[in-house]
Amino acid sequence: MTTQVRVLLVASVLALALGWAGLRRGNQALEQRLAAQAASGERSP
Amino acid sequence: MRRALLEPLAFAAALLLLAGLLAVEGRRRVELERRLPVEPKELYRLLARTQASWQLLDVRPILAEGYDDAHVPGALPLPGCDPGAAPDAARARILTSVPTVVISAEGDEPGLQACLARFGSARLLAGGMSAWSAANLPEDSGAYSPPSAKAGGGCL
Repeated sequence: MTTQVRVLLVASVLALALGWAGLRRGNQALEQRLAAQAASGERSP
Repeated sequence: MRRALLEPLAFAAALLLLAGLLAVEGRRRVELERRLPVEPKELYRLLARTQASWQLLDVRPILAEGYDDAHVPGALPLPGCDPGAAPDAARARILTSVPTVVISAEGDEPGLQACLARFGSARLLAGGMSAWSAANLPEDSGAYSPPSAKAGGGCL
């Protein structure tokens, strides 16, 4: 495996990992918003 | 020799694993967004930023009392979420595969979740058209007419 191919593969792995981490963080924020909405819905009659 | 074989395998495994994780999180995002209505002002900002990629569907059941009276600019009429009830010109433009915002009268009518499920990625407008009007956001009125081929890019 050449160095160029290796660099390309490492960059791809990093890009996917960053994308996954960003998506996961966004999903956690959405879950918190949903939980907050559900809580405020339960409080209001 | 062994290392030469292991290295590509390790990369392939890492790429496959990460692609799988991304797909799982992406699917979760679609599900979460489906459950979380978009606020009128948030939708206005989204449209101002990325108008071309959002499809707005006005599902209020009676065109004359709903869509024709006032609607979100750029929305397509889809009365009762029934493609058969949509005007012909609008029906041809409704796609199930693009990100969609469903606009009802009040945002909490029964059957809206079933309507959302028809689209690959769809959200509700929180509070529906009444919340949009109450927020003093721009509105259009009149029957649906497809955009003219000669028209340039519009703005809200």
